[in-house]
Amino acid sequence: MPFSKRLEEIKVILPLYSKRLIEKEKVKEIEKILQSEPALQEELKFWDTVKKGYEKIKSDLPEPSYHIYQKIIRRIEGKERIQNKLWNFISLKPKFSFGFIMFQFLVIIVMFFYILNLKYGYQTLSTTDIRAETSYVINVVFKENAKESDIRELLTKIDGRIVDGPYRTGLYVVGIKDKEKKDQILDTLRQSNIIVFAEPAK
Amino acid sequence: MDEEQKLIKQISKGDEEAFRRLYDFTSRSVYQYIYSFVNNHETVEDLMIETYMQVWLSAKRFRGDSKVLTWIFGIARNLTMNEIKKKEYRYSELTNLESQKAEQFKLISKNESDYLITMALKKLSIKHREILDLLFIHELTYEEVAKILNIPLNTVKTRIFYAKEKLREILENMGVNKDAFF
Repeated sequence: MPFSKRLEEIKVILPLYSKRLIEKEKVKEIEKILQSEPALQEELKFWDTVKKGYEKIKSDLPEPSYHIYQKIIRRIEGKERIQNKLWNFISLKPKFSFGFIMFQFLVIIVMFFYILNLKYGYQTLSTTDIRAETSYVINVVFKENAKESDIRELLTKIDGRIVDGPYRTGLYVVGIKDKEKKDQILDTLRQSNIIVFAEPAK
Repeated sequence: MDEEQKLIKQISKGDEEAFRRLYDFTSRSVYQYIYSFVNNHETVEDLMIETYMQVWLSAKRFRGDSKVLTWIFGIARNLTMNEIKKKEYRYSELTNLESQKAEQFKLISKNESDYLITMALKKLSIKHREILDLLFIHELTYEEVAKILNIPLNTVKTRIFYAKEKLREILENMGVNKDAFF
């Protein structure tokens, strides 16, 4: 290692040397180099002065009073007491524990019946009391993302109405008044972008 | 495993006697470390309580890759810095030295020079002062300082360099003749 680099390294650890916080071997090496390096001697003088200043500061620093320890212990005991109380309450009170288990059991039962009673399926756009004057019916399946307004618009266009459905498969039965136009209406339905399926019903 | 690490192991099993012994070994240094930041006995007391509560509660998590005192200093420093952020403490008691005339310090006795360097050290910023505190009061190595401050070793060295430069500058601003000291 070049001597100049070694000098820089020693310069960096001079505060530690000043406090004798380095190994004996390094101390010897530094002492040897110090003899021939006035710049390092100057640097060391600075750190020795800082060390003296700190000796004064250290001698003025207050000591902790012993009652701090008592406070720490009281705080720890207080915290542990709260934790223990909570644990005892939960684990040693059979009525509470039993009640808590029953409550959880009840919640599970309620959830079970709630899920069972959930109704799946489609919301109908028709009503049950429609008496449609129809002469021809078509089975239709609308796309899932079809808007209600679009469906209504399409039904108006073909002059038809929903007479049945929806079934679980999503099928609607659409009735039309004018049987003569059935082919044209079927084409209109099939070309619509909200229709998945349109076929004459039996 | 040193004595303090053995104590930490016992503390992690809930040994209160080991905790008391560790407190006896370390409390003076920790108290003085915190005091050098906040200069207020009540706050130092509160921070001491918090620090040792953490020691009690986190003893299980002590990994043993540093000295126990270094670990406790790290806890104390975090809590103290949080406190300092909450309230604006003066890091050190500033004296009216700034208002004194520079000429006053041209000729100084030994006692006066000690006093002046002490004052100059107290005028350093937290960043510079704490690193010198850890070296010169608590006699920690650069590696230990790096762990407490959670900074790389090279940053410790750089910070010491800048602390020295700043200290020289403060002394010059105080009108202290360089030859009077060095």
